Amino acid sequence: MKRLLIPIILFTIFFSCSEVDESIVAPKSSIPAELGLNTIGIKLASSFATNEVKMNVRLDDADKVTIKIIDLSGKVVSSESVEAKAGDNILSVYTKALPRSSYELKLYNSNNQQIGKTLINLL
Amino acid sequence: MKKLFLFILIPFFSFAQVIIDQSIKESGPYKVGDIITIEYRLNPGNLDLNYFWLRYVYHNNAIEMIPNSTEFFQGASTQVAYYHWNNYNFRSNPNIGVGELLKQYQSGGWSYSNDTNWNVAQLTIQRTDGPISGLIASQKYKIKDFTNFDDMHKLSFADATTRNNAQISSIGSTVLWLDLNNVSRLVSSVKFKVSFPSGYDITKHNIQVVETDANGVVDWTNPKIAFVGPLDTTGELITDKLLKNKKYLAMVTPNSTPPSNIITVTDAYKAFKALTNRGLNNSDPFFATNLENSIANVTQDQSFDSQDAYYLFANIMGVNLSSVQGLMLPLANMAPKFISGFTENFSSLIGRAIITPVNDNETYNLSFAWGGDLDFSHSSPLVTGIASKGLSINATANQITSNADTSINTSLVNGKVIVTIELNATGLAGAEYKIGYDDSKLKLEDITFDSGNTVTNFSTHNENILTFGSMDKTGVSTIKVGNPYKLIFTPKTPLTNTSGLIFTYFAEAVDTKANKVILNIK
Repeated sequence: MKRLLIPIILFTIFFSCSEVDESIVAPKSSIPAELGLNTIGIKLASSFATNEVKMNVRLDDADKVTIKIIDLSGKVVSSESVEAKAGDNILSVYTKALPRSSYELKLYNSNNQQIGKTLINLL
Repeated sequence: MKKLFLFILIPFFSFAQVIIDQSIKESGPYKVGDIITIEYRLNPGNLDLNYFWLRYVYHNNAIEMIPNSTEFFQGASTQVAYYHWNNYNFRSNPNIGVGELLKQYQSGGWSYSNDTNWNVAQLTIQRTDGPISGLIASQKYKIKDFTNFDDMHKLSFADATTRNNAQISSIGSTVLWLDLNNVSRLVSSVKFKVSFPSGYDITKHNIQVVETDANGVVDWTNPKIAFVGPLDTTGELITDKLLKNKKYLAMVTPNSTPPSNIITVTDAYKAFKALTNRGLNNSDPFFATNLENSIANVTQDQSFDSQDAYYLFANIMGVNLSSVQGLMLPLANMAPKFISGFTENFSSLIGRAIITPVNDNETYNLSFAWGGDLDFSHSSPLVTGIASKGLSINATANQITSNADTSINTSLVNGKVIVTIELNATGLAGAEYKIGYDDSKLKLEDITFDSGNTVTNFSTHNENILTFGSMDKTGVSTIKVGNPYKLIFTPKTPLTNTSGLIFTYFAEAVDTKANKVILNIK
């Protein structure tokens, strides 16, 4: 047991006490923290929206993607096709025309495969 | 040493579970009509939750939610939202336990079915000044006249996030499905139950009860209203205001502006089809039931004729009919024209609903129909009835429907917002679309039609709502498949993309046999 425990404790102490040398940190991304994504997908700056909310669509490769807004019954109430580049794509969801409700946002690649999903609540 | 080892591991494994519970604040016994408070409490363990989202369903024959009764209790540094959807039920993922609320959420394939017995609701909380914990929300419900209150309120699925991005292992509940026990029923009550089509908001209607004389005749010069009240989401209303052994006239009446899409291409085409589809001798009745004959006769003259069909077509083409006196059409700026009566003989229009309550807990089943609503899309479903002129029916062809796919896609092309409608179904005599757009960002430039040379195209533009489509009233020509409609907008402000700028209200079509085709928007 001691053999197992000691490496765990050392590991925990090392990472909790180590200081970060900011001079070697990679340049800050221009993507706001609330829109940061580590994998391909879709992320909103906030799940609440009134007239407009920013979203990040992140892709591994450039592609023509479709963003669908879907209501509870499964009906697609809004669908957009957009040419997106590899990496982060900061876009908008314009919500003024949408009736107040909660919707799913789904992201599809050009092969019509779903590659991301999130929720939006209209205030 | 073992204790230390556990101490290190516990934060990673044990406290990542979130518990959401529901309870009834008031203790029983209860009686029908009582108001109860359902409270939602969250135990986040040691997690610093900054966001919590919950969907649930409740049996709307058992309880009725009191409007605007949702309260949130996590302080001022929160953003909250409550939504509900009437007449839907959640179909859980059968491969995941119903109590695995987070896994049900993560499974993604959420499925809801139309179900008049259930309503769906959603709570969302985002908190900035501390962890979401304890009592998060409460709502008030009225107990309805029902016999089984088991599992009347069920949690469906949930999601949460933490401020430090700590992983949440699960969201569960110790009271997943809520019961109500010891409920006593009302006596001397009368229940009205109104049938309505799937997806229709029946709460936009009242039951109005008027006193009559001993022969069931209302003195319309001085009508005495015995009772008026709105229907709930199940189309029910209970009252103890009526006297036994006394005659009343019971009516279903609208209590707000009529929905704008009651009359569509399906109704107009059905009217034209009825004019020409009268058998070899051209002598068959226009419609199978007296009710259809009555609501098709929108001019309310001797009988249905071609003038009625043209008024229906004019209505969908956007012609202003408000100056035409006496039209029985659900127009926004005119008094609603409406028919109601007992469900059991409604199709024959034998008579209005004259009731005489005698016993306790009597139920009266009522139906209603809008003038011109020949596909009964916004009226009580037409069921077995007494047919006109010797025809026997089990259900009318009006309610035969099929499905076809359509898509409405937007894109930003050379500085313009282009909306392309794709429709590949064949054999369609008519199609109609209604979309809204963000007029603070877009200006309509053009609508182009490529629906074929022999169909009549139409479009109306009312503020930020566009209605457009095509119809061939003879049914000889059909709508060309492909991309029959294209809308072009000019942006008023610079745009990066178009998501949400265009919103689809509905899409519908009718085939050459006058059967409704529901267009599924993909």
